[in-house]
Order: sequence, then structure tokens, then C-alpha cells
Amino acid sequence: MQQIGVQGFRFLMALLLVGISTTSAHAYLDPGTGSIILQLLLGGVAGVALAGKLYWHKFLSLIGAGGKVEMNEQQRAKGGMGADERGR
Amino acid sequence: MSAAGSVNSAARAGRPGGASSTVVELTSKAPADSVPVPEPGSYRDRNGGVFYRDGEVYRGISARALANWERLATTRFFRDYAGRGNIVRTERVNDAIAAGAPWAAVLKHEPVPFVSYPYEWTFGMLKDAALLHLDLMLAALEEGFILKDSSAYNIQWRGAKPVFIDIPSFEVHEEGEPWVGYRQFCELFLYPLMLQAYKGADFRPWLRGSLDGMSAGALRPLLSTRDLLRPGVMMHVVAQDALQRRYSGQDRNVRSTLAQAGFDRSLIVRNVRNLRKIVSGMKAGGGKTEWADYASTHSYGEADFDAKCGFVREAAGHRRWRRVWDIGCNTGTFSRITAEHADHVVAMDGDWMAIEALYQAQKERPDAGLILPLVVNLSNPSPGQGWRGTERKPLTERGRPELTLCLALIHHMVISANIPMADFIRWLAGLGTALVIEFVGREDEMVQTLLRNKDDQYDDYRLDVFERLLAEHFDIRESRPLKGGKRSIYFALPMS
Repeated sequence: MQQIGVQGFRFLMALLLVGISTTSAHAYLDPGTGSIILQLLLGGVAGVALAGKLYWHKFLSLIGAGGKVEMNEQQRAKGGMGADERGR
Repeated sequence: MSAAGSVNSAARAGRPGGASSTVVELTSKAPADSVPVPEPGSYRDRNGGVFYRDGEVYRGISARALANWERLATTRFFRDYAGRGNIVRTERVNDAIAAGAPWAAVLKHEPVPFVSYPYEWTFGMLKDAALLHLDLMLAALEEGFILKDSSAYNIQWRGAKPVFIDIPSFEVHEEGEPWVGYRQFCELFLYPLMLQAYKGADFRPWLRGSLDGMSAGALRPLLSTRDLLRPGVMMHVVAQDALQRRYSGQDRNVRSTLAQAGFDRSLIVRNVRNLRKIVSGMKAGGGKTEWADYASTHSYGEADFDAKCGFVREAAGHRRWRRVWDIGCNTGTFSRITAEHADHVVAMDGDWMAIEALYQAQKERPDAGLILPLVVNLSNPSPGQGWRGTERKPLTERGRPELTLCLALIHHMVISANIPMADFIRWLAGLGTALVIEFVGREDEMVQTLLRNKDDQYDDYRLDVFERLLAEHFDIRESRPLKGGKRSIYFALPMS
């Protein structure tokens, strides 16, 4: 159970970092990538919903409820998912 | 406390992954006039820099910080908190004062009476500072602002009342931006509080040793399986530690991804409220310390105690004192007596629970703004630390006292801490302060207790030696025996 939770975490976080564009940060303080990602999950229902909206198909795949074909379509549509992510 | 009435000034600090605070001692040795003296601790954030001039505290700010200030000054929350004294009173002043400096504008801050650092605070003080920080976050977010950093050093104290001092920390919050200072809040507030609340361990040595605070990775190994169920541990410590490790090598900017995804301010509000709930519910763990019950367990009978109080009251009443130190203050009985004749009293003791008792009591009292309780071990007071060793200042450079109370402390310095009596008296004299000092004789049961397990190597610990040393360095004005001659108390002025 705990293992599933940890994997879920890592999976969601990995997805968040795929195919993103970069912009210049304008803070003198380094917020920490991991701490920023965590803030999504600390945003309560809204944060989780946001994550869900973005990565619903990937999430379904993780828990085995989503089809692989559907996944790949989603990835193509996004155009940024790497092969390494598919195997997770 | 008016600026003119204060010798010390605090302002900001900037820390890598940290914010800031600053201090300088503006004594008669400071430049007399018109020469700005930069604050050595104010360097991290390039959007501003604190300097001192003519005993006042100023902050040069960049064009970007100026734009933020102009909007901030019109907000309701800023006026409210500044009006209550929980944000340092600040005004924009004539720009000409910054001539030659790279600033777009200059702000002037009301100085705080004495600068202190989180490693000198009690659990309750750190907790209240954390709650103020979170309340400011919530109030700011409501009006489109955010605190861009979360350094505990950005909070100072006016007596027992916390004051937020780092004005440029308030920035307009751009939609989609996360709370950049979240990790820093954890490292400088949440984790030290958890260490004390959940493990019963003193957070001060940790903060004194690590100015950036305690990382998730440092706290995680100290937590037991049972601790994982305590409020906030799973997400704020364990998950954060795991995520930081997992993503420490990433070179991509996840902030923009969040913004694109529709991350909004309500998620930050939710997190801040959750943190507020966790912090509010925390209580200091650990057993009672030696002096926690001093007020009810001190070694005096009632008549002697009254005589001691009377002596201190009369000595303090000789004049008005701008700053008093009460070293070895215990639960602050004599700090309060002296506060009647002083602008500000810094009450210090090495026993954190005694200081906590004083802090909690002061919060509710009418003289709450007059007495600053600090946890300080006088045999090892806070040193200069940080960049160049000047970012955080030694205790003695943050505002020396005009009057010092040193009551029932000397036996702890000489016998417990092994500091030669002559050296201790010289140190007191070096402060340039008037002095109310109590000598605790060898016959006193408190000294007997200290000696019970030690070789008696303290040949200098005698009343005649003490009086000779005191007379060498001070002008003794009054004295009287206490406790049937086991103790003596003196009022002395510095040699002119």
C-alpha cells in the first residue's frame, strides 16, 4: 500500500516535469523543485484535481485502469512524453 | 519605542534560501552624521539594502521593489498590521538621501529596541513568530500580495510582541506562481518547532549551528515510525524530503509548468491554513527544566525577598534607563521591577523554560512591550555568525545596557562555568554599565549544591575578593546584606 503511494507520488511528479517550457525565475530564494511540486499536493482537493486534470490518463495507466493505447494517444497529443516514461 | 530612543536598529537580512535581518549598534562610536553605514547582513536580495544614518534605519530599494512598495502601502492589511505594530512602521523619505547609491527610492523604518535571533527565542516565541508569518501570508494573499521569502530572521520583537521587519518581502503575487518561501518556512519555522514538540529536543543549538535552518533531510532520520502519524509529518517532512531528493538534480523550471496548468492562489491559501492548524496545535515537548518554577521555589524567605525587591526598585529608580539587561533573569521578577524605570529591558537566562514562563506571562501584561525575554547562556553568548562573521551579531554588539541586573548569577559563572571571578567582573565593567549585583556566599545552600560534586578550586570565590574586584572597576554606591549575611547586594556605577 505504502509502495503504491510512493510510486504514485514519484509518477505524478515525474510527469509534471516532462516536456515543460522554461522561464526565468525571479526570486533570489531557491524554492526547491521538490518543494514546489509538493505544493500541488498540499493544495487540497483543488490541487489534486489539478493534477488529475493534467495527468488523468497517465494516472489511470499507473493503477491499471487505463488502456495503453489511450495512454499513448495522450502522449502523442502532448508531444512530449519520452519513451522512458512509458515504461513506468 | 521611538527611533531616537533606540540605540539599535533592525531591518532586513537576506539569506541564501533565506531572507534576512540586520542590525547595527549605533553607539557614540558610530559616525556622527550624514555618512550612511551599510548593514553587513543586508546583502542577499539585490532589490534592497539597509543602511544606518544619524541613528535612523533606512532601506534603499530597487525600481521593482519601489513598484511593490507603492502598491503595498495602499493595501488594507498592511495598514492594519503596521497600525497594530506587527509590521515595522515604514515611510518613504526624500530620495536625495540616497544620492550616489544605486537605489530608486529610500524607505525609513522605525528601529526595534534590541535585535534578537531565533536561536535565542523560546518555543513559544518561535511558534508565535511562525503564526504571525502565516497570518501575514493569508492577509497578503487576500489582497494579491505574497511574502516571497519566509525567514524567521525577518521577525523581531518589541518586548513580547513580534514585528515583521522585511518590507520588500511583500511582493505582488503573479497568478500561477507557487509559494517560493514554502521550503524556507519549513526549514526555519516548522521543522525546529517539530523537533521540540515531537521529539522534546532543543531547537536552539540547531538554529545557532545552521543559519539556514533545519532541512527535511536533517529532520527525517530523527523521526520514529510513530512520529509519522503526527500532524504535518507525512507531507511536510517525509514527502518533501523524498521529493527534494528525487528532483535535486533537475534543471527544468517546474514553476512555469504549474502556472500553465492553472495553479492558483487558493492552493497556497489551503497550504498556509493547514500549516497554521499544525503550528497552532503544537506544544513544547520534554521535561521540566531546573528553574521553570523559580518564582515559587527560590531560596528566599518572604522578608528577605521583599528586601531584595526593595533594593532593586530603589537602585533602578535613580534615573530613567534607556536599556537594561537582566542577566540570569529567571522568570523575570526583577525585570518587571526595573521596567518601571526603563524604556526596554532585555531579560536573559540560559534556562529556556524560565524564559518561556516569562514570555507567556508578558504577552498578557500591560508592560508586554517593555521586556524582551531571550534564552542566552552568559558563559557562551551568541557569537558573530554568517558571511564575514558579521551577518548575525554577537550579543554585546546589539546594544549595550545602561543598567545591568546580575542577581544570583555570579556563583553559576564562577563555580558552574569555571569563569574566574576577576574575569567576569572585568567583562561586566567592559559593558560600561551601571550594575546591581548580588553576591551569593559560600554558606548559601545554592552554592553548597553547586560544589557538592566538584573539587573546590575556587579560592577567589570569597566576599572580600568580590568586593575588592567590584571596587576596582565600579563606583559602589549602595550595598546591603541579605539572607542573614549569606548574600549581599550592591548598586554600582561605572568608573567615569
